[in-house]
Amino acid sequence: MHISEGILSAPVLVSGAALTAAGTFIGLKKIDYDQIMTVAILTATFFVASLIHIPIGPSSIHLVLNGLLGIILGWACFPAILTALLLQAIFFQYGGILVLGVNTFIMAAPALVCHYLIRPQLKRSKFRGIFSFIGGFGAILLASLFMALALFFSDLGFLRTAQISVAANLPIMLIEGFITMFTVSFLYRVHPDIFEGNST
Amino acid sequence: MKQILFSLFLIIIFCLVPVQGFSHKVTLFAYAEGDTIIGESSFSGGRAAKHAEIIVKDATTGITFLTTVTDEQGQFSFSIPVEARQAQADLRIVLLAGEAHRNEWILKAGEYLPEGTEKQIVAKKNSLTETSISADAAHLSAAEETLIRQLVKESLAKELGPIKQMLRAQASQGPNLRDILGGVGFIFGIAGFIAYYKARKKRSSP
Repeated sequence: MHISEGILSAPVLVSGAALTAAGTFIGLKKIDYDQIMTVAILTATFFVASLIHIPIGPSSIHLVLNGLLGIILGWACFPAILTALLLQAIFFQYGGILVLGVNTFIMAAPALVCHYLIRPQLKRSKFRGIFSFIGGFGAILLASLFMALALFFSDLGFLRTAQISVAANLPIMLIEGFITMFTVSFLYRVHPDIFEGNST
Repeated sequence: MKQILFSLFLIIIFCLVPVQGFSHKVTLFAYAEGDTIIGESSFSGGRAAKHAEIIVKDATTGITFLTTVTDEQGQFSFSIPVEARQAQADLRIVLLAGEAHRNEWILKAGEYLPEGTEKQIVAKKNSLTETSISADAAHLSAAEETLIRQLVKESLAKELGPIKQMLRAQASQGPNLRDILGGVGFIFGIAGFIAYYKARKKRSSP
């Protein structure tokens, strides 16, 4: 889900960076003192998860977990994902510094959508499983569409890229759906107050 | 409480870190062998970049010399374009591996032009006679010289083969445990900084 350096056009890079900056600013404002450690742990989880690649079929996939981050963190997912991607770009040359804004937005914006759409539904324990599955699944789906959109604005043809990126990420959507489902229900059982405070 | 989250996170790290096969970065490696340029590409972790597009350009002017694709092993080769040889251009080899992956490799003219420019050869010869490594060396016939050059080249290619292989392997290495733990450390450091900052704010505005 990382776009390499030197593919996107300047307007896309600039607008991505601007949106990410705005999101990060709001996110940092919204983090309250007690939430800092949760943000750090989830940032670290995100950082590590996208480094672990599992070969499946002709290609390999890795976890993204942006749905989970969005559901738990809300706006704070912007600084979290930005930090993790920055470190990945510096340490491993994944993505790059110039595309950092766009890459962050591609993963953080769907996370935020999940936060607003999915989180309110989780209060009812009956549908908690299915909604958190949709959260994990949808976050990747949206992210692949955002990625295709970024490529489209750089004149690389939307439909084809969208098909490729959605198809390539389909297995990971399912896996993330299940992982998000189990993590959310586990956290609700052992540590429900993580979902209580600072709901937006 | 927080311990549960933390232990969850530790479990993730320690279970999954030894899993090999990282990707998301595509590497490219090219070198000249005689009249052809041979290259190899792979995603970090060693998976070959199959059927990826290769574009060969002039590094300074940006003119495209030729395009090709990688084979099943992620390898490609092409004969050195005549225009490039004439212009003594540095080659910019660009790899497009679909789905937003791209990398490039610069092959300097000196690396693929067989004996450098005419001028360089003359200079080399001069330095050879000046230092007079051996008086006979300067008086070798042209045929002998080419023969020696050929022999040296062949044995060098043989010796350097494994080293090139090693370099290639090194270039395609994924992140190791040290890097990952370093990154995690950074994240907690940053969190500590934010906590400090927020705690000070909290104290100053009761």
